[in-house]
Amino acid sequence: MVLRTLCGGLVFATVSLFHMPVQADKPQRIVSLNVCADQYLLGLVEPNRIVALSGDAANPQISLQYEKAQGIHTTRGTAEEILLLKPDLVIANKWRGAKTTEILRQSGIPVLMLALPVTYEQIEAETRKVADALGEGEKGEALLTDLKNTMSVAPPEDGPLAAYFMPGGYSAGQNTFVETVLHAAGYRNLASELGLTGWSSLSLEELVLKKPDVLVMSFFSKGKYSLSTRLRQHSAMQELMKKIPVIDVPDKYWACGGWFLFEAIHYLKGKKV
Amino acid sequence: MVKLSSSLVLALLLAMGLGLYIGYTPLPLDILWGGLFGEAERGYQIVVQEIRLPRVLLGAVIGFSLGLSGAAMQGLLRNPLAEPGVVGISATAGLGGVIVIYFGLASSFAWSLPLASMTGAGLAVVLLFVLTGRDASVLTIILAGVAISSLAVALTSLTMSLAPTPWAVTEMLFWVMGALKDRSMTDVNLTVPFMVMGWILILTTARALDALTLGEETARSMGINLKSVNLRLIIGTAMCVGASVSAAGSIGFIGLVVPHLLRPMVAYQPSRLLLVSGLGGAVLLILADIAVRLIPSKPEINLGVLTAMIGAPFFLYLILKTRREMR
Repeated sequence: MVLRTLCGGLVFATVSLFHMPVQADKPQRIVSLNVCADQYLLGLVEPNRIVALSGDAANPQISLQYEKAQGIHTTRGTAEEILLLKPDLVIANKWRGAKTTEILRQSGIPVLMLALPVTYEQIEAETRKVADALGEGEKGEALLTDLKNTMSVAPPEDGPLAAYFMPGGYSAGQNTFVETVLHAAGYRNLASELGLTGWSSLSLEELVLKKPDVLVMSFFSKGKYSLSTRLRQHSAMQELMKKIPVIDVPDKYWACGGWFLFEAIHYLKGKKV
Repeated sequence: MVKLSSSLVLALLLAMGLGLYIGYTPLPLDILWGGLFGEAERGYQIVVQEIRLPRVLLGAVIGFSLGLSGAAMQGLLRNPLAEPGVVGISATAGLGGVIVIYFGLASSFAWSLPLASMTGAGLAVVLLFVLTGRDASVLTIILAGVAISSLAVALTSLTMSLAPTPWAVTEMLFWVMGALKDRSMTDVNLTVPFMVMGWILILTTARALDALTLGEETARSMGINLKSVNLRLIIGTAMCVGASVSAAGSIGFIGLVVPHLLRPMVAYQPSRLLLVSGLGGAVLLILADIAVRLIPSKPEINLGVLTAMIGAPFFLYLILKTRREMR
């Protein structure tokens, strides 16, 4: 056992000696497969180490750092494209392209899986995990400082009651990052007070009768008309929107849970009446 | 006949009342009443008048349209398995709707949605009629239906991919398995006029449908203008199904189950089957929609899922039965 470790160390040392003149431990050809992973990459590493981002990376609607993503190669997330790019690290998540990451792993490419962090502690751990894998531990801590500064509020007892609404009537109850954000910004979450857990739906009926203080909406992407977004045109919704303030949080502030949620918290705090 | 119709009307009124009463928040009867007639607090008025009422009204008119057009199609094609959902008319109507929604027409011109769905439905009925004709074998109808629905669903999916929306998956489910959740009075106003026109067109063919049971030749000799009958049935069905789908997506099997259950009660007479099938369809759809609300799932299951779970086994049973009869 000891001998094996020793040998392994020796081989590793030799390989490093030949191959890596600088930054031996940092991945240099990184590929990201989703818009969440894009944010970590754009926030943590220099563009020359990013080989490809996801197709949404430069979309100003849902990608927070879309400006930084301009000009960086994007993929459609197929194993073939990614293999040809010869990455030394791929960042993916469990929910999209399970088969793709399987092939990449079999081809010997290291794949880092993102989790879906919910609480501040989980986001912290997630950011550290990614930052360490990228060899950018210090930058990771810097990113977390922004989040920590906005988070330092105790969960509200008498804050305004917010009803979070997505197209199709979807909402977020307990154990979602939306609730973490709402609480951090000093709002109470109607969905969780109604006993909902996770990503669930809020009926229009409950929404009208529970009389929230504010409507928080996102992802009703402007210009793109679809069936789910017609919900906003419903007469009951229209009347409610006339009576209570509506906060349209830009999609890109909370496209998923991560260090960048501080933008959403800032935004919600700024809109508080 | 009169007795059957009036008991169905009574059942329909009861179902509608129940539909208004049962919702996500329990409302006592006096508040429900006050909400309906504008005496209760504004919040209750909104819930009853703008959320529950459109849902129940749409359930009634769509159920009526689907039951009626099921009976009409079975008369037109002289085939007990013809039904708008099964033979792909609903799917094609959905395709029409999807095209106008994702290419932005529906946001600028609201009528374009029902019009496009009706056009889709009309194309499907014509295609089916041309492919199979009257008195085709059961197998021909089902195969033609499979082809038409697969094509329509594939094109719907293609349209959604071309105009990408983050909600494509849930919306795809809506067009395949419809729902009445969160519909508004706007949906009622946009679709009811077309449905009523469709009802009238179909009901005017009642006498001709009876004559057709004796065969096309005999019907013609009885002075029936077959061309006009076919046209009225095709347009009427297209209007009923198209308008229904544009408001509630594709809800299958209502037009199959209801006429079949009622046929023995009207002495197998197509003319008498029409009206009662409409009424029966309305009752069944409202009850199914109540069931969907009572099943404690979050988010609620689509209405079309429930009707398919009742209807598909029934369809299989019908296939077995017709096969036995044909031997």
